[in-house]
Amino acid sequence: MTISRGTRPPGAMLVRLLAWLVPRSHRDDWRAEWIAELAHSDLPAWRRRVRALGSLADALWLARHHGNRAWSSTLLAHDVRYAARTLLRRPAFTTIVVATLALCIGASSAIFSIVESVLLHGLAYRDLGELVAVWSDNPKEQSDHYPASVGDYYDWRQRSHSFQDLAGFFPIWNATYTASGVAERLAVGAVSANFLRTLGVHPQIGRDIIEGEDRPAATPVAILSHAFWTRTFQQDTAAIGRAVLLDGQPYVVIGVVGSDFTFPQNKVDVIVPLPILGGYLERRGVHMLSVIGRLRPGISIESARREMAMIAAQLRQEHPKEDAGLGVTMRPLANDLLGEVRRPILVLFAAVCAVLLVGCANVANLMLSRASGRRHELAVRMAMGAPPGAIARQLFIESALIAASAGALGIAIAFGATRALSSELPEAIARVGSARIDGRVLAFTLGVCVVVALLCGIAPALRGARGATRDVLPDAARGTSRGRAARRFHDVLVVGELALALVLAISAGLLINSFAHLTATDPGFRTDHLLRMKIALPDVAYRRGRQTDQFFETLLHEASSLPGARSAALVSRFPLHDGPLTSAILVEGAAYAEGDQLPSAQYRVASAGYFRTMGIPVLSGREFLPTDKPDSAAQLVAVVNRTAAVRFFGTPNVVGKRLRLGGAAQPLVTVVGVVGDIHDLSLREAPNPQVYLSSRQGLPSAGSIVIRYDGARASIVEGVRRIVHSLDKSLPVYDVQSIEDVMAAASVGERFTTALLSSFAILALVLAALGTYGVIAYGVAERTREIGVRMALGARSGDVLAMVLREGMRLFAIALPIAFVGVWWSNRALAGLLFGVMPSDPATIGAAVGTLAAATAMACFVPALRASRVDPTIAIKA
Amino acid sequence: MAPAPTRITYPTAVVLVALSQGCRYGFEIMDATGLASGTVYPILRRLEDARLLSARWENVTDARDEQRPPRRYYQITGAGRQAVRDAMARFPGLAAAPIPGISPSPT
Repeated sequence: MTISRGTRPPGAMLVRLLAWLVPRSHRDDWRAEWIAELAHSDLPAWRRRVRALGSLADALWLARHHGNRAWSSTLLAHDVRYAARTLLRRPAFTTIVVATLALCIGASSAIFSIVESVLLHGLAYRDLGELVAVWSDNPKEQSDHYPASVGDYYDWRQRSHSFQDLAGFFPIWNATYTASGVAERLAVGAVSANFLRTLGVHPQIGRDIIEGEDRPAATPVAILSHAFWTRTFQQDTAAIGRAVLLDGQPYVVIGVVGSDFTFPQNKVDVIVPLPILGGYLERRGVHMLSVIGRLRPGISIESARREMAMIAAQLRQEHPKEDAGLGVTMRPLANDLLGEVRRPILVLFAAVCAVLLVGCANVANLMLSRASGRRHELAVRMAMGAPPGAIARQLFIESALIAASAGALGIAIAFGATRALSSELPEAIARVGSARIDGRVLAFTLGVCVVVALLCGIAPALRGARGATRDVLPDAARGTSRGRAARRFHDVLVVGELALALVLAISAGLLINSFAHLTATDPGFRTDHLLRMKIALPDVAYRRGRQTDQFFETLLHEASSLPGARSAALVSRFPLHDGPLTSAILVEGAAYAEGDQLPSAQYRVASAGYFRTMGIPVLSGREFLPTDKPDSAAQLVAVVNRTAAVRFFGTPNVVGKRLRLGGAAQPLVTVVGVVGDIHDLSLREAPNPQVYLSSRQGLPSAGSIVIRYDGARASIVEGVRRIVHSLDKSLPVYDVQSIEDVMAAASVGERFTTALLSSFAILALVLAALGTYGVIAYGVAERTREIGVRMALGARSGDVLAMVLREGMRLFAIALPIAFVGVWWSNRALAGLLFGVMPSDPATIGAAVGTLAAATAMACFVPALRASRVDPTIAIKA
Repeated sequence: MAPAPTRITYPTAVVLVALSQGCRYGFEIMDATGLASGTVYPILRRLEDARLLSARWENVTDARDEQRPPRRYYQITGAGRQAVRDAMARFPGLAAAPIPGISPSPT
């Protein structure tokens, strides 16, 4: 059966290609039937193309059941065996190609495992698209994600109609868990009763918190995290109904959440109702709640925003003091929770995809060169009757075999890489997901292998089949050089490789530069021989006042007397480690209009000797002394940093001036000293106003003990544990860190991104250089006769050397403007990640361009040298 | 080739019923049954091998009159009718719910 070839319906090309799989006895009829169906159909073109995909299953069925021999033995076994033999005959080529691709596939699978577990499946909440994060908008603090007060939260919940549910939570509470002599400090998430329901999450065992259990009078209940349940109860379901002691108070365990549950914003051990926050609940001026809403079906985020803006306006009128200037902002929860990690992960994924492309271009180039070199073999096979399709199929199976081997090796590399990555993941990423190989990552790897096989295999297969048809045997035997089109195709691949490598090199350079700026930032305190550890006093056992004073005084005194310790101090929040705590500031004598948002400062409580221990310079006045009176009726003293002095009083000389913290009803505090600025929240952010209060005049219930030492670190930690244990057996010492750990943690995200992107850039650079080398070397080998003729006609070695070098550098020059388009695009992605360096930093760009130019020149130099040493007499005779 | 014993799976039964109700070619069966092309064609090949179907090419002049390539038409054989009855007995729901878009024709 034959058909006219005039029309080509959608999908016909695929059918013609797949017809080669169909046994010859059925092929013409098969092709005619499919093309007739595709031509007849009234379906839109895309649906016909989709239907044409089914011809693969049809062709394979016929091949399997009507082939001369069984399909597997003809197509797979024969062709694969032949392909394997061909590849093994060139072990060096095969090793290089497989290793290159395996490295690229392994790296991309490893990074995809992070994309998959963090960005795609990190938040296992029902219908994530319906969930929004609701924040206060506080223009005075320049913050549009300012926590809500508990009062605001309850008013939002009562008055709004846009939400199915609105849940409030505080993710960073701490409590001491005690059980049979063990004391452990736990991270606690305090939540409203509807919290899990709003997220669409059910406890894995037990039940959810019910309405009313989040009221102060209710029996305290707790839901355990899967990790804590495993660690403490060995996954015993009998834990449900038992009581756990938190800060000395019993909480009845009512449920356990699943292992895939991610608590928003922070990793917690236990979820308890809001009343654990105690007195904070009643104060409308305290903004600490994060709020999550689930939109009603059909309600857009815009209309919810409009409704909440009206509610915020009502609240400003009803509470002119506490809610002055406050609005409401809203954003999709996924953006809110993953925003800070999304960009670096996507940048890394884009980078690893670029490396994969460079690797594919490299391998395609090598395989093309090799296919050109095999033209004689292919021409012989054509002459013996092999159809072009069979030749193309053979070459394609070779690529598929390479991709499959590289994929297998790549998965092994990915397993190793994910294991290494998972231990290095920054906390912000590790909290949401991890790096591990699962079914979805393997499916991605398989997809990558198919793409690699297509990218690397199609060009050589088509070129091989077409070239072999055209070639005449005697010419092929003489090894004439490639056509201009073939050479141009090689050049295009190399230019693409060089451009991608340059984009990666510049991006990595910028990140390295940025990281160097970040780590060179002076935090404002000593960064050596400091040790910090946390200790907490349960409120129930230790009433604030004399008892806690005595406890800390004894502890600090004994700790500073430990062998190797030089001084010890207490601070409520350690800089660059603990979260922010902001307080409104009222300067004595300044006039504040009703409804004004007051200026604010980060505040912390510190003991005598804190500044000396931390190495924070006292600029004027004095630091806290043991003689500052503990009696609250005595003069309250404060130390401020330079920024606070200048911001609040307009001068750095503020010793003796007075201010209030919190509100007009609070007592006046006298400034006794001004100290240097420190980076408090992050190294990136400029120091903000900071106010220190004396621990003699108001102890916190928890804080960091800071010890400056010159002895062995381990013995100091052990010593402090011993002292605490002797004072109170039930108190845990936890979260022990050296200052080096604190500083490393402050830049761990940047370190992670920079290290990975730099490795990818180096890999791309090496691959691009190898690709350039391959193309130039191959060009030189092909043109040996031409070079010989040139030299016979008088060209000197230097001329030939320059000619070949010029050729390589021409490719580099073409790649340069293309790379800059890529750099422009990549800079937009990098902008938010850079610190202290402009995306257009000329030094970085210059260095990257110089490095790649040098690598290209070196890659060209070896073949150029070989060309310049061609012996004309031998070359011409060859 | 001797007819091979044929497993009547649900999709096979659906294809057989579609043919018995007047569908004549692959794309028509797909339209009527909603099955994918990668499912329908291998089933047609299998049924043809088992001689439950016979295939013929459309008259070339008919196709040429409509300026299109001729189609391959499938028809249930005598053995195929028995298979349709077996299929309907095995999947009674198929007989009760005729395939949409096809008016039953006597077989």
